Amino acid sequence: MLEVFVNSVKDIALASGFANVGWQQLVMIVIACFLAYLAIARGYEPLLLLPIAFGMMLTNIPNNGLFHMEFYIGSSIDYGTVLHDGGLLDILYLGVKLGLYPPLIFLGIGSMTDFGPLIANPKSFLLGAAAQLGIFIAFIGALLIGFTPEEASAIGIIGGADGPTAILVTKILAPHLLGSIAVAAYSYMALVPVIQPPIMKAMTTKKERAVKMDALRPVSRTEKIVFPIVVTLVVCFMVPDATPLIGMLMLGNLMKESGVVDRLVKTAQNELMNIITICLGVTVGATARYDYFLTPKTLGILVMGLAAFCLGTFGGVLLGKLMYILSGGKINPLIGSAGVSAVPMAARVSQRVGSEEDPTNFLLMHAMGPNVAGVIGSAVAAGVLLSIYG
Amino acid sequence: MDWTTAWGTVFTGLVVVFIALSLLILLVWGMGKIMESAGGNHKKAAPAPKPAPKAPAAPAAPKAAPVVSAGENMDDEVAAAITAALAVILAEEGSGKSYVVKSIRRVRSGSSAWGRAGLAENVRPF
Repeated sequence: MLEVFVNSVKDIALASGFANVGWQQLVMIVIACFLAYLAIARGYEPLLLLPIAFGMMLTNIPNNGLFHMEFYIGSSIDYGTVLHDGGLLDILYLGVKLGLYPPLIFLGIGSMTDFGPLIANPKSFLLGAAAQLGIFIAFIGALLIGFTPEEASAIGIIGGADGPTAILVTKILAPHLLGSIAVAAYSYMALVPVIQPPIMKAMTTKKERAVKMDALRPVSRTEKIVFPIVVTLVVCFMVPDATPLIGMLMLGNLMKESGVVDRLVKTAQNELMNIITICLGVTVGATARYDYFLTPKTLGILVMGLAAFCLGTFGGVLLGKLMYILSGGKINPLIGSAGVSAVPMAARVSQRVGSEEDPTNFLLMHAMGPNVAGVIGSAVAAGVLLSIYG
Repeated sequence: MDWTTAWGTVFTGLVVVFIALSLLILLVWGMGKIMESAGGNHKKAAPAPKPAPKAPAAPAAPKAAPVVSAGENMDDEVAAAITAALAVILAEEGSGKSYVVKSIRRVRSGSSAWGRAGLAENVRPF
């Protein structure tokens, strides 16, 4: 009996995480705890960073069978194996792999977004387009440091500052980099208030930052209803690969603006969005397993992701300056930086930097135009990259 | 690495993004113009409001004989209220003085002090 007891304890000990853990897994658990700290104590994108951090921690605990990255690497997936031998996170990850979660997140975003500032000032679309410069420059940068074109596309899209778009592109073009790219994208989005202001201030003069813009015209309900239909038709006909994201974004917005499906809007804004956010966050975090994350490539992704963010801000402010000149000083170039998406954080940054110069200057609503245009712009850019390399 | 394809991707990407969003600018701008003209026609179809007559003299200022040249959209009651308020305030400065209100114009500051205070309150967290 004693022998059975000793053998059992020995077997349990040998199968435990303590006996099988390597230093890389411990490093990943420390990184996961650090990300959780940033989410909880510093409030950095907690809705996604917290589940990502916990998913990262779970996947690096040895022998738990929750997630098998190897099931998803390769040209095809054996869904029978996933369903038969997969763990909880393997099953949930199917939502990422099949491209379900990012468009559903966009449905929720659309149902919460007011495109009024963009409709009132359509020129904002140009700022949303200019801020996509970072995506393509970072794409070239990633190629230069040795990434494949598919990997470079996924890295460049970090500059779109749009988590669901980055995840959708990465899961198609470079699934093995999903963990690193998602962590980089969400970390940099959380750091927008730190990354953007120095670039904005360096590129603008005091006089430009102090420009007060005219009040936006009121937008009618009819315009708000027609807008999502027009955007869907134009963008989806031009770039069909952007349809899952743009289609769902605009469906959510049409539901909100129509005012006739309040129950659906509430579900899209709350329950559905929250459920998908949990599933997306924890499974994306689970892809950050030590053997995929602790590689020189992750360092390259972090560097090029930061470059993409900075260049996107640069592109937006640069076009903002051009519009300032062409408009005879009526447009504040600070609103250009909001074109990098990261809704509404980037618009808040424009507001904050503008009000530092003149506390009576309110740029928030003006910056929301380029901000939501950036969401559409990054979805179009993602569609282009998917159509070339997908 | 095929650099021709890489630079082609960059060029294609930027051009397509700009074309797509420029097309949206045109459509949204056109939509705004259509709505504006539809709204304008609607206003024209409605009976035009009578131009505001000269505002009456302020009752609270017996010695003043205000002549108000109010704008066309100025409501009689608004002109009377403004004139009365002025008369009360100016009467406090001492009797024996008479004033003439020549015109009342709307200040185009974009928003009232209360509006600005509300806006400041709402955007403070950002």
